[in-house]
Amino acid sequence: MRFKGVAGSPGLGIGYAALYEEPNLDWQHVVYSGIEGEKARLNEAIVTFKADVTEMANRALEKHGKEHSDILKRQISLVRDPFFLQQINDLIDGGKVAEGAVNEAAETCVEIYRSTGDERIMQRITDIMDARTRLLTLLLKVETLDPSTLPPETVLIGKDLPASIIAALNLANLAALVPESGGFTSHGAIMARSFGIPLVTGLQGVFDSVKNGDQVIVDGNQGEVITSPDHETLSSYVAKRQSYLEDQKSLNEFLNLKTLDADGQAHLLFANIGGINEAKIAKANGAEGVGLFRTEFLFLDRTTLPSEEEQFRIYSEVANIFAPNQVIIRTLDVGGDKNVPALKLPKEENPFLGYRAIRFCLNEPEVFMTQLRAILRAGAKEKNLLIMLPLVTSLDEVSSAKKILETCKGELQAKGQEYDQAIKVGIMVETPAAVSMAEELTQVTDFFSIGTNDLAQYTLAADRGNAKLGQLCSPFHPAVLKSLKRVIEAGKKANKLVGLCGEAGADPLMIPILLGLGLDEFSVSPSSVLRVRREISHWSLERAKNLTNEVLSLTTTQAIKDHLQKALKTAP
Amino acid sequence: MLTYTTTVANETGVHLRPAGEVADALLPLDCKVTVMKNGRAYDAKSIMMLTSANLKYGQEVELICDGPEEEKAMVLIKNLIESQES
Repeated sequence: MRFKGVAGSPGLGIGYAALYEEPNLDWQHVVYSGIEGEKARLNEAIVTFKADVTEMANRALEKHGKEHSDILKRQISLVRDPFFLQQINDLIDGGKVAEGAVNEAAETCVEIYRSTGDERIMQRITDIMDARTRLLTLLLKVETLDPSTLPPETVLIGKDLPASIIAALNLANLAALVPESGGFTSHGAIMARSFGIPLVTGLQGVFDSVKNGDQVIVDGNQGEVITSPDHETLSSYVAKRQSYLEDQKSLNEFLNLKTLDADGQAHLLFANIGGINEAKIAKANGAEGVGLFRTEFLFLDRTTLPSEEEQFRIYSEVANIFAPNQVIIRTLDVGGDKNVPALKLPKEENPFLGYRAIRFCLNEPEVFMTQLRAILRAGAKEKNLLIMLPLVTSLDEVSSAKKILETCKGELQAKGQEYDQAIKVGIMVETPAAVSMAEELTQVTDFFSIGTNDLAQYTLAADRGNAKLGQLCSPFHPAVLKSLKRVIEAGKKANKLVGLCGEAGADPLMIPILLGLGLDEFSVSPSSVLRVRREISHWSLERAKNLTNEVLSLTTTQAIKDHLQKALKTAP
Repeated sequence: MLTYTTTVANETGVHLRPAGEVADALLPLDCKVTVMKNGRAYDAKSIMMLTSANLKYGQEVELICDGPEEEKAMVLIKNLIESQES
């Protein structure tokens, strides 16, 4: 059977199903053995708990790093928490069996966390629930899957796979992970990507249709799970995996290299990130810097705004990861289409043409200034942070933003705080207006970064999310290519760095054009970095320029794509 | 016994991660550590108790450390309450 889900972590895993199930933790049958008896059982369970989890935490630290072992260590902190233990003991004194006491004490703790109303604290509720489950499992002596002793080629499948389970896995024997619930940014997916284990999530029915030991194919590139494949399917995937692994191996040869074209000329190859985790993944994937840090991820799905300190900490960490190389931080790019409850932005009829990004920031400078101060301070040490303004359509907007930036500098100066006095300010070029004004905009900006997704959408008046419009919203449309040419030329003439941070930068068909036009910096998703580096290595500047000139003389998207495809096929 | 009165210095309140680290560090110390807020006592060795105290910016608290290792304990708890790091 074939199941379609979300590709959470790339790669192809072929192996045998191991089902992870929440153990049956019913304790109605347990008979109260007296205060002494229950406390003895409790203590035995706690001793085993600490020993087991300490061992898992140590292994996790060694194999996956501190972040993952911390998840487990927090559980140990909980089972030795004086308040938690007191609660359990009081409940046992009152006639509860150890299981009931643990459960009720855990609920009290959950309630304490929940009543704070603080999102960061509420996120830790899973720690309590995981610890509760483990304690009950030990008390009831229920058999559970031991994540550290999986048989080789295991595909671990669960309705949900708790972070504490994933952190404790023996990766050497793990072929793939399939948590049915979750998404690309769920904790399990992030962990799987950092471990390089294929993961497919966001699907239903796999768990119920598979038995332990069934053969399973997990395609983390396409987001597919195939259970009990027939012989033909299996052999095709074995071949696919083989070529995928060979491809990965050839890509890995580019890991610690500079980004050089066939002439040996160096280009900047950066990554687009949304937070610290992705920054680490990007770095591990060979990114030389950050061309786009989408800070809106710090603001989404929470009811309070991130404080200056919180932002400062995050920006500083990313700055440190890439120092001395550049990290371009895009200031808040939100509008009515993105869920930022803390900003209470009204729903709009045309959010993409509405009150968003720089327009919002200039109108409600409080939020903007908090972010600018955080960036200025985080740049103090390494001086490698740059500020990028989104959705700019005029010089006024840049001047106003810079005026606000100067006010922020003044505030920091007055408080005696350190900051990067000479921080560079650039803009996203993603509107036709910015393209038309590119020459003038070089006078007020330090750099450009072209956002091809939005530039194509605004240039062609075509919603990029509307499937009915098909290929209309294409960066290969001659109007978009002409815009790229104009912006890159304007930047070069004024000696300003020009980058590109849209998906198009990773497209093998687009790469020769960007090289031919003289783009300075490519910024792509972390998983595309090595592929782009390899692609760039195939092109000499002369060949890229010739091809670009040919393409620019063509008049339709289709003709351009056909020409490029032909050129790539006949490449030397 | 050591006592010390101070106010929560962090604009966003006392944070869970550092509070957890401090509770863990206090636990083995031979000393009782109490945070008094509005006349209620919270055991600082318990992250649950500290969290339930819901310490917010500017609130006045009294720190009480009592036992052989009270000086060590006071430094830890004082740093937590007076930390400005978020």
